[in-house]
Amino acid sequence: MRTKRGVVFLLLLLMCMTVTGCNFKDIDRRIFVVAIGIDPGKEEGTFKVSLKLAIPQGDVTKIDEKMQILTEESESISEALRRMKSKVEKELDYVHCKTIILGEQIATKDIRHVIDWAMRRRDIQSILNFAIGRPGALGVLQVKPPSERIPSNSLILAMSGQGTESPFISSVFSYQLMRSIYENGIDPILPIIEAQGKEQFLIDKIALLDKNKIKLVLTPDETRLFNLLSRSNLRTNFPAHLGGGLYQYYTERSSSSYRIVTQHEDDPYIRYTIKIRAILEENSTEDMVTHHMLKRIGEAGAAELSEAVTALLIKICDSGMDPLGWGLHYGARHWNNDTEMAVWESLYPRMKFQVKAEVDVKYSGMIK
Amino acid sequence: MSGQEHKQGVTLEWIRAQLSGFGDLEDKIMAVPSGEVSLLYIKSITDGQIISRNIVAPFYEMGNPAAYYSYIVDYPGSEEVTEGTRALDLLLSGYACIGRSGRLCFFDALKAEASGVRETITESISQGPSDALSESLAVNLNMIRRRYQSSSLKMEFTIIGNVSKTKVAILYDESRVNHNVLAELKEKLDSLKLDVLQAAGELEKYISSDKLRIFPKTIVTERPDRVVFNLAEGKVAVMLDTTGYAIVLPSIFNDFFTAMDDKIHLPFVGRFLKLLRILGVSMTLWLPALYIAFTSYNPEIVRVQIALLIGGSRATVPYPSFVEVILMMIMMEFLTEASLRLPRAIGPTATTVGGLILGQAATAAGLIGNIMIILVSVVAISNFLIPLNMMSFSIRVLKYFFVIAAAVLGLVGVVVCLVGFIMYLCSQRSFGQPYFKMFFLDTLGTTLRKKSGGE
Repeated sequence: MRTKRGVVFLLLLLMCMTVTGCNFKDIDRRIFVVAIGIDPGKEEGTFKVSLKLAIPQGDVTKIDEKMQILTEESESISEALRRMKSKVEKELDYVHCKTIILGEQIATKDIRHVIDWAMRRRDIQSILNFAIGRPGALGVLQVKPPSERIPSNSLILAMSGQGTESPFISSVFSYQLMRSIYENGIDPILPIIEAQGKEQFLIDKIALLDKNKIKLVLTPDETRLFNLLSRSNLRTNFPAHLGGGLYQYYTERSSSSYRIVTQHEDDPYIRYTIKIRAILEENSTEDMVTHHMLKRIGEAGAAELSEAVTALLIKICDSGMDPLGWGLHYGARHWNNDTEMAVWESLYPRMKFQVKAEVDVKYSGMIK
Repeated sequence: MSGQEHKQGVTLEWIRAQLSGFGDLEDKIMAVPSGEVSLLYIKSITDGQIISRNIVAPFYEMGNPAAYYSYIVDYPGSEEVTEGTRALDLLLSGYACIGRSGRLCFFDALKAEASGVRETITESISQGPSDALSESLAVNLNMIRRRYQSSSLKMEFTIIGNVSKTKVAILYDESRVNHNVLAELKEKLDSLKLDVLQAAGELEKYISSDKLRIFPKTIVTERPDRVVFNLAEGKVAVMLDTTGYAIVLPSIFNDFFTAMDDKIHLPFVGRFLKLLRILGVSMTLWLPALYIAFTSYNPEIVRVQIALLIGGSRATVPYPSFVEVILMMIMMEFLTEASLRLPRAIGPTATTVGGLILGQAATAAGLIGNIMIILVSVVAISNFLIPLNMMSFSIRVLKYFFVIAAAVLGLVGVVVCLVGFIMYLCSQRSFGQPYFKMFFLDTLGTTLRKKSGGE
């Protein structure tokens, strides 16, 4: 009796395994979408959606990047994706999609439709990187760097900071983008990826968005300064001119903080403090670098840096956008909930900036 | 034969009648001018040397049957018997019967064919004592006594098995043991109705209460030092004659992951090794299930690189992932079992050939993904990290539950199965002791005796 029941139970269990349902789909029957590009379609109001598909390699030893790009135009993104399903034999799987690239033409019009779609799809992660593709999203997707082994891996690595730690790249996750679009007192930014031919891309600019479209594009130098202000320990180098010689120092540590000073209603200002611990990296003169010298290089560098940063801040302020979240900062520290943002709106255009940079060049580098 | 009761006045003739047909029965009359005695013994289980030196030679040296008979009766271990059943039992257990004028005396002449003390096989350790328990109870008790020189170490004997008459010794430290456990064990041993008892594991099966259980509740060990270590912790050891294994109870889950050389290693090394074992168990339990979950339900959990790698290696595999996993795991079980059963000389060949076939040919044929091979070998190897065989076998079986759960429900199934597994462990008791508690003795150092002192 007992064994009979056991056998029946076992059989039932085994039968369970054949009814695994539609959720069960082996990995070799899925095709992974690693990047999505969205451009405006030929007709007004339509999207041209491009998917970059990674095709797995059977033999690991002779791996060669294989990818496929699907393109479809439709007035809605979901519709375009559904249509594309019938262009491939496997199920499109978006769970490994790490990048959504918006064509520049989309970004200069309105990005909210796309970000709304990306946040609603449950299989598209909220930690994927958003970026603007120049000249178009499709062009960026087609870039295939020779160093790449897995399709779109170079984009993923560059954007996530796992690979290159370029001071010119700032990554924006979709949840961050969503937040800065719908939050008061902070405006979204997006990195710009430029396709240079078929084998190279360049990410060294960021676009400041007025909630839904590009308003200002920063130059690479400004992008670097922006990154210096928006994150700590940016690894980069800055110049210092001293007595006709050019010195470059490498920032080993950097930090920036600010204070919004509004004691005098008519004269509000933001005081930025930037602290950098640096190592001398380049010296155009043949002068002996002494401790005293290092101090003077630091001072010269700090002066140049604060000048550049002030110029950037004024440029941002003049554009009327708030990518660093000063308004949010102000609102968070004031109790007049009903009026604080209105007060901020009136204060912001009159905002002045004081930048205090401290550059401490600690070492002269290694010369033997 | 044994069914016949014979209480009083046993005679040689009756014994001869009972033992008719015994080809190895020796029946002799020893005679000197002043009288004669008869000598009866079963050749196959008696020691010829003892018989000739201690029974036959003294008779002819003394030349006086009456004095000789009283010498035999007074000899340590000898016994005068009037009951027929008892007489037969003694003869069958290796005694020689000396009869003179209607009185019978039984002389211990047992030849114990037991293998000597050998080295541990199933529980080898790198450093520390390497003697294993032998198959003779007397030798084993000697080994324990020598390692546990305390007057509170008590030994109680009982016999189990109507036919095998296996001698069973119960060992415990009177001052530390939990008497409830002891009472429960004795009760269970008394209520056993068996014909043959040959192995410690068998006894383990009979004294554990629930029938459908997956985890061993008592340790079956071949290491005398483990027995001693556990006796000192207040546990009870049960030893059987004719088997080289002892049972230690009650045992908790954690005990099965303790190797005897944990104590020998430096503290951090010991902890690390234990951690390694826990990790190994987790790997062997979950890896196949996670593989199924990742390949068939939730590929988003692993990195895209790995997802593509798995996808690529599975490109030629015709069957769904769980078929692949189960197929491969079963193959591996075959290999493990085969290398255990094969004669020692062929064993390595089988593993090499099997490994080659499974590893190379199966992937080359596109039947199994490359990743699967790595996975299966990790599972196989990590399973053997568990120092005690019983637990290692349990885990081997248990991982199939995880595989089935993963095949049906994906990652959710694995989690559900894990929760169920922990709940099951928590609900288990070994002789009244919670099975899943972390340490057998609580960390404050109070022993079980102190806890149960009020009882």
